Amino acid sequence: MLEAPSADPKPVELSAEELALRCQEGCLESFEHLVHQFEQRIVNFLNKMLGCRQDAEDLAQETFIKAYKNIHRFDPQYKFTTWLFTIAKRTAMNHYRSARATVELTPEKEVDERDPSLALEEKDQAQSLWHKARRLLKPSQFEALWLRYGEGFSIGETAKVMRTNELRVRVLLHRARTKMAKQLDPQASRPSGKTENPSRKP
Amino acid sequence: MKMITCWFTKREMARRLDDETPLPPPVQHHLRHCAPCQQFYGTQSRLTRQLSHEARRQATQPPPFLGTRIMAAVRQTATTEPQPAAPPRWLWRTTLAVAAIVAALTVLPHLVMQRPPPPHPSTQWFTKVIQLSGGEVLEQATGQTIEEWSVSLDQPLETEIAYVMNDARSAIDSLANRFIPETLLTKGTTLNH
Ligand SMILES: [Zn+2]
Repeated sequence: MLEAPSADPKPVELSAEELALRCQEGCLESFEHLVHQFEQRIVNFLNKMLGCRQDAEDLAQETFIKAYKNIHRFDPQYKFTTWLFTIAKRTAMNHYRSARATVELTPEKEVDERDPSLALEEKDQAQSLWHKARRLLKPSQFEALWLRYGEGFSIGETAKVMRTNELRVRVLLHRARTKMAKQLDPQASRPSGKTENPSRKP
Repeated sequence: MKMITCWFTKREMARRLDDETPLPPPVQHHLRHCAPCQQFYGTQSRLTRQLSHEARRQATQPPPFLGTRIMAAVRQTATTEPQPAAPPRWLWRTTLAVAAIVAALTVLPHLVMQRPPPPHPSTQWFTKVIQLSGGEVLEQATGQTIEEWSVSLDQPLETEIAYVMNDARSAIDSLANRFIPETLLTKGTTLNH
């Protein structure tokens, strides 16, 4: 079970889907490559969703264990990335539900109260854009925004991870961008009717 | 009214921003003559670029031993809970095909015998709008009451109704794009409802 198949090429040259396929055949080394390939993205994603680095690292471990246990369910004709992110998202949601049952804190509040580096972060203009997004947006809007622009997923992939349809992702993104734009440039997001030159109206 | 053209333009721009595809010539043409739309597109595209850039910049390396820690846990799982072998692909397909046939044979007679229940009185007008707009998400509403649908989408009902109306307008937009000459559209010709 733990032996790697002797066939070439080396795991490092394979795509994530091919590595997952090898893993289905019992190659643990291939799974190790997948862990190295995706651990940073999964930790960052979970960190963005939960707002706590420590929890993100613990849940990344849980995500990979779940992925390993269920690797036989992965269909290599689909993208491994979206499959893995779906597991990560579900793991984060389960964690959030169980955490909410004991601690009455939203993830946003947890960030403020737990993370001492927040004051420094807020001074950083760049950092504050995503930070602002988290404060402004509904969790589903933030998630769509992060998957699309933070992870670079397509609309279809974002919909798959979020277990919804593309139309809803577009709606979430549109609302998220409009809210964010209002903050950045209040003039730009006024309804077109109000920004019109009155003299041009019939 | 020019505002209707602006509304359609903004909708198209939002779609292009979602897909990161260039703006079509009619929209580009409109932008050259419309400052508010220009400003809207400028702000939104700047925002998406900034978001992508900052996400890359902020990506932090995981602690050096996280990968090792994960693999140790995975190895332990591998020894305590051996992985079930992946079933051959043909088995999946055969199972799915058999399941589909069985489901069809079970459900079809009921569908043929039973007429669907009449819609809830409060949803009748809404269902008509949905049928007119023909949107993907909107199809979901026909099987549920509006309230359930709204809750399941986690949106206020008013917003969803507005959204349905928007989609109906977009259908009109697509008709207009086909049958009204581009020159009239870009000049800001009114599309009266
Ligand atoms: Zn305009």
